[in-house]
Amino acid sequence: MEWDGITGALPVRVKQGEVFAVLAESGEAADRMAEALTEKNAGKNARFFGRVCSSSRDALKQGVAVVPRAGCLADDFSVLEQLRLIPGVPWTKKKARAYTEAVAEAYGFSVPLSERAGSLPGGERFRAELLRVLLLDVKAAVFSSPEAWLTPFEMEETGAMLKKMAREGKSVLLITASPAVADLAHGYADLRGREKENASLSPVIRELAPGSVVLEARDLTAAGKGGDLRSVSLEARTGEITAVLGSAGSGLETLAGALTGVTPLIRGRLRLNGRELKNAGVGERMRAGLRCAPGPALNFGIPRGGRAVYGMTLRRMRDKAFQESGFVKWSAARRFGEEAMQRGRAKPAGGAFAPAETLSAYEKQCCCLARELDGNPEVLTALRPTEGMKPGEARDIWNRLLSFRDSRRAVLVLTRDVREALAVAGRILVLCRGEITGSFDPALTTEKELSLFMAGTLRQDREEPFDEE
Amino acid sequence: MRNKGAAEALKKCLKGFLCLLFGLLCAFLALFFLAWANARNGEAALRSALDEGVKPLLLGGGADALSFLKAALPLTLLSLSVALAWQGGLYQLGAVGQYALGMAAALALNGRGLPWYAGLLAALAMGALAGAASGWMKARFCVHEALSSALLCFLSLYAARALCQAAPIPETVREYPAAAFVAGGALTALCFVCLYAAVWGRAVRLMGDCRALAAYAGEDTGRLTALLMSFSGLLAGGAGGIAVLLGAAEEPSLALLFSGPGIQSLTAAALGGGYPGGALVFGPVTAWLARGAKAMDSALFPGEIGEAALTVGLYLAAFFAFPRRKGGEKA
Amino acid sequence: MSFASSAVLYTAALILGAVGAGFLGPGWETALSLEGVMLLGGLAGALASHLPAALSLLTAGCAGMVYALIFVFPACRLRNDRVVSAAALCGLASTLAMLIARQLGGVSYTRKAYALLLGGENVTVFLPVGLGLALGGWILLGHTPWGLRLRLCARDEAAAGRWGLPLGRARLAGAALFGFFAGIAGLAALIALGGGWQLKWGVGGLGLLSLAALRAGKRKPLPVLLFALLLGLARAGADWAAQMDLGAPEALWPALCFLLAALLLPLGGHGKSRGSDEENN
Repeated sequence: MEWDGITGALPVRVKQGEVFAVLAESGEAADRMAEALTEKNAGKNARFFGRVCSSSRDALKQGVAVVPRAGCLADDFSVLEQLRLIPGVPWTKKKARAYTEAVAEAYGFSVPLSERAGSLPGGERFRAELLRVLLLDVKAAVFSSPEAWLTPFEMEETGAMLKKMAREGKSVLLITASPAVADLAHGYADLRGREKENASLSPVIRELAPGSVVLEARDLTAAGKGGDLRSVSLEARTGEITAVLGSAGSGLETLAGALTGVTPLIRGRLRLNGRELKNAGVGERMRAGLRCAPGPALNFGIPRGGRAVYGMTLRRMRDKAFQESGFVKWSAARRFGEEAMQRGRAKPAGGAFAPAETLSAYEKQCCCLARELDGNPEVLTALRPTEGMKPGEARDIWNRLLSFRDSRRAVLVLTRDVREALAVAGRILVLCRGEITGSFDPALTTEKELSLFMAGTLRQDREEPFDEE
Repeated sequence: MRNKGAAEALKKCLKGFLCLLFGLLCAFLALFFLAWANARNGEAALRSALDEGVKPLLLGGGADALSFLKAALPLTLLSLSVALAWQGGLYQLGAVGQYALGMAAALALNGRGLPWYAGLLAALAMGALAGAASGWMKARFCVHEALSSALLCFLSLYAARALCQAAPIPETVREYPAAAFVAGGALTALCFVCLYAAVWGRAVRLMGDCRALAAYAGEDTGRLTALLMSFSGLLAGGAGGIAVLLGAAEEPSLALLFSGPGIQSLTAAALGGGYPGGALVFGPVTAWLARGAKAMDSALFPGEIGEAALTVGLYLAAFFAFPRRKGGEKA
Repeated sequence: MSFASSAVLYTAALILGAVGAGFLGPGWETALSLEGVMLLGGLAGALASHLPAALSLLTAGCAGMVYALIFVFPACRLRNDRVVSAAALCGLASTLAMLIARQLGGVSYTRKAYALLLGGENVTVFLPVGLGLALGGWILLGHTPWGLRLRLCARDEAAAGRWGLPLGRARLAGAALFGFFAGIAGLAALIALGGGWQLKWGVGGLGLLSLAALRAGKRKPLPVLLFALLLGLARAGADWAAQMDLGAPEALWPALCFLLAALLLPLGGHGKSRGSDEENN
């Protein structure tokens, strides 16, 4: 497998029987690289066994399986159903199940075969993808951003599986933004450029003692696309960042929706400074001081059409200041937008009037934070706030959240990233399959422990591990 | 900065014209082959296709300015109704059904000792009701509005026909052209004001951008959907009422859908890039061509060729001029 | 025209249309062109009605297939707005049908050509053909690797692309089968609608009724069959009521039939899962 000049940098060559990693600048960059491998025009520099491939299908014919960040399995079909499509796997369900289970067992893992691929939590989903690659019996495999699916503990296990694949004579290429993943490989190429030196977040000094409870959620139960919530209870205190950690599909998005008011609650209570907000709408919650930065799932809360500056009044369209008897006061909205962007230090490269679709993830998040932090609210909920950003940009976003915290306000961060949570949070809750399974003091816990909780292997409130409902 | 937006709109309009041009080219080829099959002489066929086919098709629409305007106004309003719904990210395939209902209602009340606006009001109400039905189905049951509005379109067409059968069309329909033009202008203005100056329109356009984002901004997307569909229906019903006032009404039948204002309004809206402004440009253009098709030598060249040119334009517009709905870009 | 024979024809048209649309998968917007494909296929079949019934059916199917391959396939494959292109296809099919009919000096066909020996005119060839093709289509789609691949491609294009499945081929096959089924459905529809029917009326919304049955039945074979039967009976009932002259306007009866279909739509559920026919942006 050869890969020349992907970023104008050094060529990458993966030998047979080797696990090799390419360390990219950011998650976005890793995705782009993985896409470029099999794209018609961009893939000219990538050769698999001496040949250029123009699509995933083409690559597969060459004996190379490419697994991008989004995964190859379709969300709406069961895993077994999709694995039956692979040549060599028996068609009858019973035989196919026995066959695939045997292959998985040989590598020392198991996959819930009859569940929909879309409903699997991160680690299991990744193992399902891995099982597919194993069944395809390819000569080489490319995985992009495994860190999006795996907790650090699972990564170690996966590393062992990948090395076993390599021992059997297969080549594996990992494209990633996480040095931890790169460490799994036999060798890696670093394409991070100048961002390298200060890539990791240094732990934040927690000089402030957390104050009183501002936001109190009890027994939140809701259904949503990111996974259902089951009796989630949590608190946010002033002067503290509370991190809720969860893997893909654990219900982070639904929790954000339930707090914002977009996702209706089936059951539960929500109190802000003692005021019941359970039945309050989105606008009322926002006015009460419960704000939300919705992250990449919602385009960072900036509409794609229109100008960045009008995104600043997105959630206050019906405020008296920006409308008069039903008509928009465009000039007031414009003035307010410019001022708010200035106050919030949001400076898109194209200016305040740049078309919103041209903004980068970081610029959008800056605008969104400028909007949500304007007026000094009580609580800010940030969903996956730094995903897809370069380390320097991510650090700037964290600094913004930290300085907001320092003004004696509460921050609730819903994230998938264990390291970031450990570095910035004052308290960490783990959300697994829609339930809070553990609460930790970052000073007294480790990455590995958190990962085990995220994967559902451990939970605090029950004695036995591996306890499933 | 604003100029950029105008340039964008102009580009979209240009794309629409190119699609239409290609459709016309196809029509010309069809005309040529028909003529050639008749004459078996290349030169004569070309001349006949140009003189008796293309010329009336392109120029026949404007033979009489007033009658052209009478045909163009309802169609433009109908396209506006489709484009308005699109701005909120909704497909409004039932416009012609609401148009027919409005027409039937206005006809039923025409010349029965009632003032001229009684029919128009009834038409507006009928259209709004029919539109609200598919909006409500979307909001309440998540039925895709393209399917429900198309199904309700057939329902409305049959219902309008039934209404006409129950209350026979009066021998002489009383016409009020001046009132109709004023009403049409007022409806158009209302549409633009609501969409671009009102908070409601801002919310609607936000919903067209991304539904989830509109919910995040605190809008009740269900109610917004129902309201938007019913406003769009109101415009379509109003178009029917105005057609009656203009004396351009015809008996409602299924033919309205495939070879009449149904497909024509969709064409105008799609060629205009789904913008109300685009619909204002392409509504009259479409009406012009549709009238031109009727002016062709019908013994030699069937009027359907004009329709075919429009539908080819529409098909191409789906690929090039009409914005594909964004969204679903998941992280 | 008896109620029973109409009911058989309408039901056959609806069920074949529904199965055909099933081949296009839940990325179903293009299936709105069913109305148009049915019309063209039906017209071709009717033009060949002097031939033996099997040949006429085959002509209808092939005509539908050709139209689907030329127009529906690009609309599935390329980047476009599928609802708009589907609407354009309906319009185009209707104008083409009218042009063809005019050039050929009109179309005439009778139900007799399709009658089976057993039951006179009541039991037309469409009864066994409809049931057989529907069953075959269902087995093909639901119980073979090929059908699974087709469904996967239809349901989640992006994932199928990353999978390395032959997306283009699946689309081609889906469009071709859609056209074939729709063509035969169109022939059944035109014969059911009777001699007085004009081509400019299309197939009178029968395509949409099939889509309604497909949605209401949540794409599961038995419920779809039942809903198609229900709507077929209703449509035949509407024709019967119109003939009986019950005092109400004739057009009211078909309107009621569409009202019934509209009321059935919500049975299709909320469709919350990703990639379903409901939006998810």
